[in-house]
Amino acid sequence: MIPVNEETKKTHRPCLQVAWNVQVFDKDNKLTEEKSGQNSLLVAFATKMAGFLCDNSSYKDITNTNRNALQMYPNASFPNGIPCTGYGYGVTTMGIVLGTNNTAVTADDYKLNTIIPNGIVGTQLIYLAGGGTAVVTAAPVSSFIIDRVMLNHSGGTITVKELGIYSLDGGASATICLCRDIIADPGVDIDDGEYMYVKYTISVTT
Amino acid sequence: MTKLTGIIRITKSTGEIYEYPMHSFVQNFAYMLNGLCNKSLPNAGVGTPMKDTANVSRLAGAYNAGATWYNWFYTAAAAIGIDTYGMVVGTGVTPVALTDYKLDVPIAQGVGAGQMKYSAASYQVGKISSGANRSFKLIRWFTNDSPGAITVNEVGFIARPYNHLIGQFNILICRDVLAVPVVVGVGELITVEMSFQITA
Repeated sequence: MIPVNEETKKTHRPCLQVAWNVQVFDKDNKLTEEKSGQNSLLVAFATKMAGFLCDNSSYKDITNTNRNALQMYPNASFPNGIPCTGYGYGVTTMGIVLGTNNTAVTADDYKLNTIIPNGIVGTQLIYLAGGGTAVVTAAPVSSFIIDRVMLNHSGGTITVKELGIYSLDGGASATICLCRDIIADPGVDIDDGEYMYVKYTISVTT
Repeated sequence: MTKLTGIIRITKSTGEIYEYPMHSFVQNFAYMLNGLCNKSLPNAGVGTPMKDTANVSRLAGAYNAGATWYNWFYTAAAAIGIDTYGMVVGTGVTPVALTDYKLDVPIAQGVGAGQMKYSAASYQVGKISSGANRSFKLIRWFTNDSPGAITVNEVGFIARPYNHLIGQFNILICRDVLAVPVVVGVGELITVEMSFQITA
């Protein structure tokens, strides 16, 4: 066998990039803290991608149950795909979610380690409806945004140390974790009365 | 940093191997991902106009096929002789633009001058594990039974999103111009692989 033609090898760079950004605002809507990072896509995302293209391999939902990428029955409410925008207030099974445990990411992660529930007591945040933008193209990049706002009305400070995107699969009503990211210690504090704006930017570059 | 990366690998029946980092998802792919992310009503589309391979704007959106499930990128598993979707090759050298909706100069299926025979597409199951990496691979074979050598300069992938109300379209989602062309002699075969990988 003739070896790979070295002339054809160039510096590798991602063909799809995902970046995250979190901003904390105080009661006066003043920005108090901001952090950013590159995103950690997980097995579920890769497997869904494979499923979209041709395959029916399985991945884990957030309950550690195997699901098949192709075998999702699209019903009237939840069409096939990776829906993670356009859902309602208080939903923590779809869209951007936050957590408090920054254990290192592994490709096989299937959920956030310690998700922050929706609510107004203890370590709870109010999850507003999730949104996003349409695709914007400004050569050489095409990108769109998935975003969400979380309010802290718990009465205390909540420290966010992980974030991710959950997606709801079709008729199986299974929630899968497409990606998980961690924020290094000390994390990002959201004091009572403050809110966090979280944004994921998905982009392709020629 | 974690990312989705791609590799195009072409192996000739003569044993030469060419490997290229895959760079170029095009704007259509961003539209499709955007559509996939929307929990929109079935059949509605979300108003993100992709361009099909005939340069016609098509909506990206959810769908409901009644009692039959379909996949959004349905289907890459193109049958033998199909040159309108799945992995495709061409001779064009025009640099990639985000707005590309087809190969520059596609090589048609056949045995006439400048044509190649397209095999059925294949794939290797996702979640091929190696340490922190997980990957899956698409494979297709192309044979040159034409009267002369053919130079492959570009490789692309055409997906087929399906919506039973608004139809099924051929949508180019990536195109790469090869840094080093691959000359396929008469009677030769090339194996083209696209591997996608994430790394935690």
